[in-house]
Amino acid sequence: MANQERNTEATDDAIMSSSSDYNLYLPMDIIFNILSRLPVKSLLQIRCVCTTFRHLISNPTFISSHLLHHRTTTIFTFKHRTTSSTTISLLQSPSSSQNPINLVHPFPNRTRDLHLIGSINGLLCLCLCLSLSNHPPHCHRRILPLLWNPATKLFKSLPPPTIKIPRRFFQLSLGFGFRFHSTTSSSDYKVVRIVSFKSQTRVEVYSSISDCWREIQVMDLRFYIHKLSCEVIVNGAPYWLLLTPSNHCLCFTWFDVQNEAFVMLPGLDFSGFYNGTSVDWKLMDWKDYAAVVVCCPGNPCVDVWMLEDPCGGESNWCRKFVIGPVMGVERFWLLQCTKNGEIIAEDARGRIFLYSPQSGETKYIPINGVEFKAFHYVESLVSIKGFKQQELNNQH
Amino acid sequence: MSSSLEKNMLILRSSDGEEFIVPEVVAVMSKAIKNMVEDECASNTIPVPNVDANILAMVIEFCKKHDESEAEAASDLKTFDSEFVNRGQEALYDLITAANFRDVKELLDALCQNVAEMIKGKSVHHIRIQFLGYQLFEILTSNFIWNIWCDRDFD
Repeated sequence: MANQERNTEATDDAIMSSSSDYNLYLPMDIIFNILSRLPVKSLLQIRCVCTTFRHLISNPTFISSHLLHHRTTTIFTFKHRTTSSTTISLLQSPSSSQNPINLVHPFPNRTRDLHLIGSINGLLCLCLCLSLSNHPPHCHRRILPLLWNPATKLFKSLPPPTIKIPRRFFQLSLGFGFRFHSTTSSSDYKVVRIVSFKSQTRVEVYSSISDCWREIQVMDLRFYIHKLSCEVIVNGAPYWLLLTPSNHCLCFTWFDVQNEAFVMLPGLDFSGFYNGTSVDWKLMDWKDYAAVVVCCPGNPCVDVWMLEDPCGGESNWCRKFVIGPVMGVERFWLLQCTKNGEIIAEDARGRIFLYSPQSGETKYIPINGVEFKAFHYVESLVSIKGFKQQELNNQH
Repeated sequence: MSSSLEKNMLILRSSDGEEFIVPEVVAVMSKAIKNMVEDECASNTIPVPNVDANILAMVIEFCKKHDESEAEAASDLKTFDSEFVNRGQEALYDLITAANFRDVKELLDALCQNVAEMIKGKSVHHIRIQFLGYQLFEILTSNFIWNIWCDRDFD
C-alpha cells in the first residue's frame, strides 16, 4: 500500500510538468456537475482539494443535486438467529446479489436494543431502546431516537421528548418524515412520536430545523400500535394503522409533514375477497405509492392492493396486480419493491432473494438472519444541525 | 455554395475557419445553435467561436451518432459514449468547454461522468493537478496550514 502511494507521487510529478503549460481550470458549473456524480466517500476526501470544493460540497444545493445522481438501493435490518443482535446491512447496488455490507452504527455495543425506524434521503432514523427486561419491544422504558447518516458517519441524538411516559401501561410508536420548504429552500426532517395511554393518545413532533419537540393536537385518533416504528414511509410521510372494529378492515392514516396533521386513507375491507380467511398483510412503499400486499395461506402469489387513484382524495382500494408465483419458491413474503420495479422477498426458509417480475429471474442474496426488514436507501451528504462524528474505533 | 446546400443543412464554422456541413437536426442538439435557428438569426453559416476544427469535428461525430441511433439499442449508445469520452486530458477538457459553451447536454453528461470516474479513488494531490491546473495548484500549496490539513488521511 505504501509502495503504491509512492508510485503515484512519482507519476504526479510527471503529470505536473506536462500539464504546467496550460490551465485546466474548469468552470464552476462543470465542477458542480462532475462532483455531484461522485460517491460520498470520494467527496469526503476531495473536500480538502481546495476551499472552493469544500464550500461546494457542504452547499445545500449541491447536496440536493448529488442526491439526484445516485440510485436508490436497499438497506436491511435483521436479527442474529441466536444472539438476537440487530445488524444493519446495505445492498451494494440496486439489483446486485453480492454480499451486503454491514454498517457500523454509532452504538456498536448496543446492537440488541437498536431499531431502524426509517430512511429518507440517506438519513436513517434509529432508536435505542433501553429496556426493562420482559417487556415487549414497544413497551420499552427509555427510547432514545437518533438520526444517522451512514455515508458521512455523522449522527445526532435527539433532545429528550416532552411527553413523559407514565409508569402505567402505555404504547409508543415513532415515525420519520421529511419536507422540503421551497420558500426557504431548506429541508426539514421530522420525527413523530405517538404515545398511547389507556384513554388518550398524545403526539409530539421533532423538527430538525427548530431542533426541539413540540406536542401537536390530534383529533381522537385511535392508533393501533403493535410495533415501535410506523408501518411505512412513502414520499417522506410516515403511515400508521388505526384501530378498526373488524380484523378484515384496515384503516391507515399518514402524517402530513408540512401541516403537521394526520390524514385518513379510505378503509380497506377485504373480508369478502378472501372469504373471511385470516391473511397476512403489510403496508408498503410501491414506487412512491402506498400499497397493501396480502399473502393468503396456501396461495403462492401475493396480491398488491392500491388506491384506484393514488393522487386523488376520494377513491377506493382495488387489487391492482398479483406478484408470483415465483419459480422454485413455494411461498414467499415481500420485503420491498425496489425503485426499478424488482421485488425483494423472503422465502419460507428465511432466505432473501431478488425477483424480477419482468424476466421471472430470481437471485439469492447471501445474508443470514431472522426478522428481516428492508428500507430504501440512497447515499447522501445530507446533514442536520448538531451532527457529530461517530467514533470509528471498532470499524476494522 | 449555398445553392448546392440541401435543405435542412447548416454550415458550422470553427474558430480556425474550417467549415462543416451538418444536418439541422444534428446541429440543434446544441441548445445554443437551436436558439439561434429558432430565433431565425442564423444565416446559412453559423460561426462557432472558441471551438477549433478538431474539437468541433468530435462534437459533430457525437451528435450524429446520438441522432442516428435514436432507435438503436441503448447499450450500443452507451458503449459508443464510453469509447468516445475516453480521451487524453487536454482533448477531454476542450470538449467539456465546447459542450458547455454550445450547451450540448448529452455530451456534457457523458464527459462529466467520465471525469467523475477518473477522479474516483485518486489522491487529493492527483486531483489538484488534474482539476485545478498548475497555476491554481501552486497558489493553494503555498498555504502551509492547508497542506497539513490535506495530509490528513480520510477514512
